[in-house]
Order: sequence, then structure tokens, then C-alpha cells
Amino acid sequence: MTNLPPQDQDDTRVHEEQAPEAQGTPRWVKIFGLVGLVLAALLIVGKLTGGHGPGRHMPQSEVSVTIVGLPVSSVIAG
Amino acid sequence: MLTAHIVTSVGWMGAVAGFLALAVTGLNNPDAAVVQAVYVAMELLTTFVIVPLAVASLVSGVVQSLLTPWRLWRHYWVVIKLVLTVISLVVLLLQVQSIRALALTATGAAWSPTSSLEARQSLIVHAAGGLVVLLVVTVLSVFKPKGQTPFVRQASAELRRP
Repeated sequence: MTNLPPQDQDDTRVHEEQAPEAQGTPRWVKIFGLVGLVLAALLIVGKLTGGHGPGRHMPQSEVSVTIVGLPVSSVIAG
Repeated sequence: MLTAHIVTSVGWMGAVAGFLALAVTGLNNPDAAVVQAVYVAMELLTTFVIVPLAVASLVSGVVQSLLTPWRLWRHYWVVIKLVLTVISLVVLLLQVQSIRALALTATGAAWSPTSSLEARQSLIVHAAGGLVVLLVVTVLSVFKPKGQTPFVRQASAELRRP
């Protein structure tokens, strides 16, 4: 964001030959969208098949024995 | 504000690169003491450097875009950058608990070189993926590829209507 946008992009005054509605979505945006959709689909498939997800790889011992950072043993012991 | 945004964004990327180096060391180093120290360092790096930089990068980026003619919704590169930053921050925050649990396990008496192997590999994958996304965000910021969103097109069409 070091440079300001060109004047014709800065405001909504547009020359006839540069009408933005005629430009459509740029190709690089379509490629970004396509890659994003593929990655999202892969993540959803991974999640549905149980291969991926938040906390999935957490060490089991710590997940099962820790409550708000305190070992369950110390909580139970009071 | 621009300086703050550049510093926090590039700092975030550098900190993730450091995290990745530690994660690889934690998986490959044969010295158990080094490995244990690595996971404690990774938790500290995440809590006190990466998360604050990520939040500051997002906030400063939003403020910076709203204070300049770029705005938040006018140009595709700004919108895509915002979406990628938000996704990266959410994934990071989801990983924090795993990193803390791993640091606790590493300092426990039951630690062995094969402990939590899947979790340690997962950290490498997430850090590498995050680094790629942050690199893409940086490239977008530098090159600012052309392309205006439909919001600008609608506004200009209404202005041109007699």
C-alpha cells in the first residue's frame, strides 16, 4: 500500500473507453478463486474423512488431563 | 500507519520462518534436551511474537486501507489480501492450543523422541503453508495487480446514468 491508486481508479469518474463494468473480473482473480476453491474442497474432504482439523494432532495426554492449563490431578486434589 | 503495517506484516512472516526452522529442528534433532527446549521456545514465539504481530498486521492493514483511496472493497488485491490474512490468523489461533499442549508434553517426564510425532509433523505443515500464504500476501502488496471489484463498477455506472 505504498503507492496511491491511479486517478482513474481512485474515484468513480471514468472515461468512456475505460468503463470498469466492461472490464469484467481479471484473469488473475479467477485463478486465485479457482485455487482457493480447490484448496477449500480438499480441506472439507480431509475434515469429512477425519484426516484433518483443529486440535486433531494435539498430544492426547495433555488434551485429556489439562483443564485451563492446570493438570486435572491438581484440580481434583484441590 | 503504513510503517506499522509493513513492519508487522513482514515481521509476522519472518517470525513464522523462525517457527518453521524450530519445528524442523524439533523433529530431526537427536538431542532430547535440544528438542524439549525447541518446543518451549516455539510456544513463547507463538504467544509473544507471532500472534501479536498477526493481529497488529490485520488491524493496521484495515485501518491503512480505510484511510487511503485504496479502501477495503474497491480493489481485488486488497480484498484478497484481507481474506488471506483473516484465514491465516484464524488457522494460527486454532494452532495455539496444540502448540501449548506440545510444549507441556515436551517438558513432562514422559517425553520421548517419538512423543506426539503427528502433532510435531503437523506444525511443520501448517508453518510452511502459512509462510506460502504470507508470501503471496506480500507479493500482492508489492505489485498491486489491477482490477476493481463490482462495488466500484456499480458506483461508476450509477454516476454515468443520465
